[in-house]
Amino acid sequence: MVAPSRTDRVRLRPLLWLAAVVVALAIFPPVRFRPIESPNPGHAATAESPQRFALSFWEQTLTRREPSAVELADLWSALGQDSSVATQKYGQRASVGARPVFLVRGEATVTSIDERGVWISLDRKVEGNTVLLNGPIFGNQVRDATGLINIADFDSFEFNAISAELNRLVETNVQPELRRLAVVGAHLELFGAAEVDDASGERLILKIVPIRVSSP
Amino acid sequence: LHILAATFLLALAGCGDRNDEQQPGVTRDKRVAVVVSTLNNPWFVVLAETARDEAQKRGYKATIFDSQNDSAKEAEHFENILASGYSAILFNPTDAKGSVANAMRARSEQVPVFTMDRELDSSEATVSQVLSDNYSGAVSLGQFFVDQVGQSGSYVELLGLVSDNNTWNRSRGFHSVVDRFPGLKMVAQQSAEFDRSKALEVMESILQAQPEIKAVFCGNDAMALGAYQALLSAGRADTIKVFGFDGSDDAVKSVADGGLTATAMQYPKVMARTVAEYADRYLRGERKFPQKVPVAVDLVTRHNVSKLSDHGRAESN
Repeated sequence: MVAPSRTDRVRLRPLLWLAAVVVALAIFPPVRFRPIESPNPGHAATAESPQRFALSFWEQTLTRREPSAVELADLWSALGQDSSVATQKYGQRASVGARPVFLVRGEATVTSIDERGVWISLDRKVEGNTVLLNGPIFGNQVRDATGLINIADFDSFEFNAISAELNRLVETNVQPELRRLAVVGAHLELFGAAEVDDASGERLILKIVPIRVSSP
Repeated sequence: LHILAATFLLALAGCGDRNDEQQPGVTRDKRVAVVVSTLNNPWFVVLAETARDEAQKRGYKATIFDSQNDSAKEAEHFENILASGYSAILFNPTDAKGSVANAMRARSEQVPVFTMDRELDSSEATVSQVLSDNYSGAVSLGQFFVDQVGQSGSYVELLGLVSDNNTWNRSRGFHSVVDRFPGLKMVAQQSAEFDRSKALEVMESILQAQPEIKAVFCGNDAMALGAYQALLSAGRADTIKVFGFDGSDDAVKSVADGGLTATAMQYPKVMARTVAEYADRYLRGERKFPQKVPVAVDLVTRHNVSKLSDHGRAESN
């Protein structure tokens, strides 16, 4: 192997500099391109993840202690008299102008089952329809119904992630039991988070996300 | 690099115009600053002007500062506001993280800051944050999206500013529903920075690459109207459904006219009036305020559009 002459080295010098610059730019790029990524929740207020918080709330508060809830028939009766008074007395609103949500309990008989859920009839006659949701659960009914989870304790990403996790727990822990028990004519005992749906403009519908369903 | 960038931004901030001149005869405890991310979007004009008007109604001299979606401009405004002796700041930030320093600086000078519409990633920098419940609004919109588009097909998402929490709360709320339907495929997701012109450009290029899409979900109405304009130009507005977010007048009219399929009504006037009221109460000595106040967002479709007007429910304006 022949060593390069001085003339060759002089010729190679610009190329060596160019290579050095290319290597330096590869290691320390002046501009970095990153894919669009949403920020991760959990960067602010709480020490534990929203998922762990939700699981703890589910196990320790919602399903073990079952916080104070209004009897379904009493809620229907109050809604029939004055919905704003009913909301004041029994409901929770997580945001200004939001629909109220109610923590409810009661016993009822399954009257029909369709793609919207399991329709139930209370022993006392009421003016509206009541349905237990047995499909995908969206939104914040479970998170907000107790009024015990305060938005100020979380950043918005965490607060919303808590809802998503509580909804997942309903779908995995409660709805399979609801589907097993839901036979027309069956008598159910239930505890859940309810919201009034008045979108149809006709009769009110009370939509309940089940937190516990059992056969009395 | 960060130090150089910060130095450059500080230099830029120092070179900017001073657009709030001292008003002779106005006392320190009678001035309220309204700092808004942009006045290039009519929705934010409503937010800023309502905050200003409510502050004036309560006896304050109020001035609007337009940050033009530029955090350096925003920092410059804060510098001027604090130097000029304003008593409170009603703040619509440009950046959830980047704007925290501005609010903290105001706090260190005992000037209370109240955010409206956009969240700051700090529980210490503000007295109170009055924010739309974007996630819930996007959940409702997502459910309506599935109802209208069906449970299969390709769609596109146009994101807002990626540094803004509203962008991601809307996106996550929407996806919390739509992602449950495996037949719905998102074939493109791009940021158009809440800007109508950018959305038009982005949508034009997406349309060339994606011939089969059925719908577009946009993180605000300005982008939805830009995307809809692109679809009109391409002759595809009849076959592709467009969904927005905000409830701006143009978008609500478009929903009524059969253009946009739906939007989500935020209530800028409610948020603006609330922060102006809080600032007034603070300056009168009250100190106990909720750290965060979410404001509900309502789905707007052709079925209920007649009940909504002028950035709110028809009866509440």
